[in-house]
Amino acid sequence: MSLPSSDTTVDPPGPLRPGADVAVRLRNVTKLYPGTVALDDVSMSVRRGTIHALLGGNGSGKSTAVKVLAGVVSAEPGGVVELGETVVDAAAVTPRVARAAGLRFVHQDLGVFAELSVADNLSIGHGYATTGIRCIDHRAVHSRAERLIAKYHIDGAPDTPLHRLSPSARALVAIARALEQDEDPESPSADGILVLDEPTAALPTDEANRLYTSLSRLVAGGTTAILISHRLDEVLEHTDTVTVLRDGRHVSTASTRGLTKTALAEQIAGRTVRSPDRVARTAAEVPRLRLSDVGGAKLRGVSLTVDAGEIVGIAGLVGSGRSSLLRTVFGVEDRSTGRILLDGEEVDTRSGPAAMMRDGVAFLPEDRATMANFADLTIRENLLAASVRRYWSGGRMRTSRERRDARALVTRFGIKAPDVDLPMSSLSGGNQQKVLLARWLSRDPRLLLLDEPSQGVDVGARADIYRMIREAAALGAAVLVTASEFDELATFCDRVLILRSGSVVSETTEPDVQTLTAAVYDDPADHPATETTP
Amino acid sequence: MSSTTRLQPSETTDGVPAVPKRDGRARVSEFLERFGLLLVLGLVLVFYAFSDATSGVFFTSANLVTLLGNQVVVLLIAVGGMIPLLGGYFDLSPGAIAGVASVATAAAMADFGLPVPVAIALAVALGAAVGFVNGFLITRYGLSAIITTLGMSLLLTGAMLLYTSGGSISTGIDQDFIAFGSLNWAGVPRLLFVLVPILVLAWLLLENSPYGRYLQALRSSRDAAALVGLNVNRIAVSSFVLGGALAGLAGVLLTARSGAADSTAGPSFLFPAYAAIFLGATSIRPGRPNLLGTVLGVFFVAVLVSGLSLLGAAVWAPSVFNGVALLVAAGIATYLARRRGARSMMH
Repeated sequence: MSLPSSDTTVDPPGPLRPGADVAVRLRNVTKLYPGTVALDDVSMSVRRGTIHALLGGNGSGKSTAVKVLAGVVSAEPGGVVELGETVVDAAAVTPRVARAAGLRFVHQDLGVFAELSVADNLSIGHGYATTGIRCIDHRAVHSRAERLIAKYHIDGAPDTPLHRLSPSARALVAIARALEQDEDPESPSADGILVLDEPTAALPTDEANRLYTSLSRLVAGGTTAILISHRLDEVLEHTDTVTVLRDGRHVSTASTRGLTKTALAEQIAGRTVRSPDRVARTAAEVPRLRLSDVGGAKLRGVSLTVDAGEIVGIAGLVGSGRSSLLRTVFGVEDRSTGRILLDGEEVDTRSGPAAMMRDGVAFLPEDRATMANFADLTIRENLLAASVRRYWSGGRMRTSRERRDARALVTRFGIKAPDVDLPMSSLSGGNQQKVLLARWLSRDPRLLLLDEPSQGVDVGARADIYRMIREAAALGAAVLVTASEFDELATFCDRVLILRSGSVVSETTEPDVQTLTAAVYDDPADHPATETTP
Repeated sequence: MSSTTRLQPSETTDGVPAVPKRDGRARVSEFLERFGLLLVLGLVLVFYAFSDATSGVFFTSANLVTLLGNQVVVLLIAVGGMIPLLGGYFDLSPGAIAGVASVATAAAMADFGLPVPVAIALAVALGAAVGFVNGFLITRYGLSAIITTLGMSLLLTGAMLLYTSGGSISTGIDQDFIAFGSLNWAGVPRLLFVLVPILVLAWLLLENSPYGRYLQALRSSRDAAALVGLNVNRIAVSSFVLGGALAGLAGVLLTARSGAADSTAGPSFLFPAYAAIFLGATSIRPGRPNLLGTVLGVFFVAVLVSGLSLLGAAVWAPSVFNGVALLVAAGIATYLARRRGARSMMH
C-alpha cells in the first residue's frame, strides 16, 4: 500500500502569476484549537476561473480552512492568505477583508427562504429597490429578479415561491444571491470567488448534474468556485483541480484529470478502502423476509425476499418508493394490500414500529437529523434509545449499567467519542451515524432496514458503516438497504432490486455501476429531469 | 478531531475505556453548575441566621412550618406543569385547573353535601379530565400546546367565576378537612404527609423510569421518538393527564389550606410555579426541567421572600428579587451551556 506522503503538491501545469492567475492562495497557514491542530502548516492555491474541489474526511480541516478564508476564525499569525491582489497575514483575515476580495459563501443549507418568492430571496441581503418614500419599488425588484433569473438560468419566475423550485434551482438562487449581493446587475461579477459547502449533498444525481452545468457556465465567465463535497464521482466528473486535506495537513493538490476514485478515497482516508468480496450463496428455504404484492400510497405490488445473512440493495430514483418500502415494512407507512412474512410468519405492520421492533426489525431512516437523532440528548441516551426498558429494574434506571453498555458499544463499533455522557451534537456526522446504527445493531435485529446509511458521511466513516452492516449480516441479520450511489450498492450488496414507480422492475445478482445506472434510468417517463415543477 | 484537553480517557482491565477523568477546573465548574442554586440558598440561610432582623424569627419552628406548608400547593402545580414540559409541551393550564379543583372540592361538600373522599376524588378526576382534553386536542388535531392550554385556562377561569358568581365558597366545608390543611402532626404540617410521597413517586417516575426517558425523547424529537417505537401521542396525552391530576390535587389542598375556595387563587400560582421550574432547570440536572431542581426552585423563592418580609422589605422587593434570580440563573446556565457547546463542537 503506497500512500502519498503529506505535502506533495502537484500544481496544475503552467506558472501561476499571483493576482492574475491565482484567486486564493494559502501559505503555511496553521490553526490551533485547544488540544487539536486543526490546520497544520497548510499551503495550497486555487487557480482563477476553475472549479477547485476541497476534499477531506470529518476533522480533516477543510471546514476550518474555509472558516479561515471567510475570516470567521482567525488562524495563527505567520501564515499568509492571498486573495487575488490582497495579501494579508493569516491571522488578520476578517469577514470584511474576505468580502472586499470577492469571496462569497454558499452554505450547505443554502439559507434561502422557502416560503418567499424568488424575487424576495434575491432582494433580501442585497436590499429592496425603493421608491421615493421608502416603499418597496415592486417593479424594480421584479425586473432585477428577471435579469438574474436569465443570467443564472434559474428555472422559475420572480413570483415563484422557492419551495416550488427544483432543488438545483434553489441552489442557483442562493448562488445568485451570494454573487450579486452588492454588484450592479448590469456588470457581471466575473472575478467573484464562490465557496460552496456540499451544495449537492441533498440532491439526486440528475439535479446535481444540472447544478454543475450551471456552475461550469459561471466559471467559464470568470468566476472561481471552491467546492467541498463528499461525492467523489461528481468531483471527478465536474471539477478541474482537487486538493485533499487529512488530519489538518495538506495531502495533495492535483489536476482532476487522471485521478481515480480509489486513489482519492485512499488519500482522504489515509488507508486502503477495500471493497469486500462477494460471497456466493444459495437461497434459503424460508426467507427471513418475504413481501408479496405489497401496495400502499407509493407502492404498487412489491414482491421480494431477503434471506438471513443476505444484503439486498434497492436502487431507484427519488420518488421510486424506495423509502416508502422500508417505512412500510417497519410499520410507519400504511399498506393497503399484500402480505409481509418474517421467517414464514405473517406480521401485522399496522400495529406500528413498536410491534415490528418486538419482532426483531430495525429501521434507520434517511433523514438522520430530524428522524433519528436526539441531538440534545447524550450519546448514551442515543445509543440506548431503542432499549430503554432493558435498564429499568427495581424501580430505578440503572444508569451505571447503561454507561457500561454504551461504552462497550462505542468500543465495539469504533465510534470516536471521548465520553458517552457528552451531547450527541458534539460528534461529527459520521460518528453520529455510527451511533444510530449501533442503536439498532445492539438489539441483534433479525431484519435491518437501512435508508441511505452512508448519506452525508465521509469516505472513512462510510467504510466503517459498511463494515458494521456486513458484520450484522454475518451474524445472521437480513439487510435491506437503499443508497443513491450505485457503486456503493454494487460493491456492497449480494443482490440489487431495481424499484421504479413503486414496483420492483428487475433484479441483478451481479450488480455493477453500469448495469444499475442503465436499469434505473431505463424508463424515460420516470426521469425526474423531464418534470417541470414538483 | 474531537479530543479536548480536559478529557483524558484512562484504561481499565477489561478493555472498555473507563470514565474519562476531568481535570479539577472542569469538575469545579460542573459542581457549581449543578449545585449553585443550593449553595446560594445555603448562603441566604446563613445570612438570615446571623442578620439581626431575622436571626431570632426566621429559624423559629412556627416560621419554618408555615414556610413549608405554604409551598405545598405551588410545588404540586409546578410538578404538574413540569410533566408535559419534560415532553416538550408548554402547559399553561395547571393554575386554572388547581383553581377549578379547589372550587369543585368546596362545592362538592358545601353545595352537594358529598363526603370528603368523594369530593377529593372528583376534584382530582376533574383535573385529569381537563388534562386529557388538552392532550387530546393537541395530539389529535395538532393544535399548539401553548395556545390550547391558554384557551383552556381562560375557559376554566370563566367557568369558575360563573359558578361562584365572582366570589368564593367559605362555608359548609368539612372542618376536619380544613384542620388537615392547616394543622401539624408531630410539628410537621399534615400536608407534607401528602406531598412527600407524591414527590417521591414523581421522582421515581420522571427521573428513574423509562417514562421519564420517553418524555425526554419526545422533547428532543417527536419524529425520532416514533421511529424508536414510542407511541408519541399516548405518552403526550398521559403527560397532560398526570399533570392535570396533580394540579387537581393541588386545588384540593389549596381549599384545605385556606379553608375556602377563592376563584382567583388558583390561576395566580401559574407564574410562580413556572419561575420555580425554570430556576430549577438551571441546577441539579442543568439544561432541562427536573424534579429536584423544581423543589429547590420553589424553596429558594420561598426562603428569599420570607426572609425579605421579616427584614421589613417593601411589597415590591420580593418580586424584584425573584425576577433577578431567574434572569441571573438563566443567564449563567445559557453561558455555561454555550461554553460547553463551543468546546465540544470544535473540530
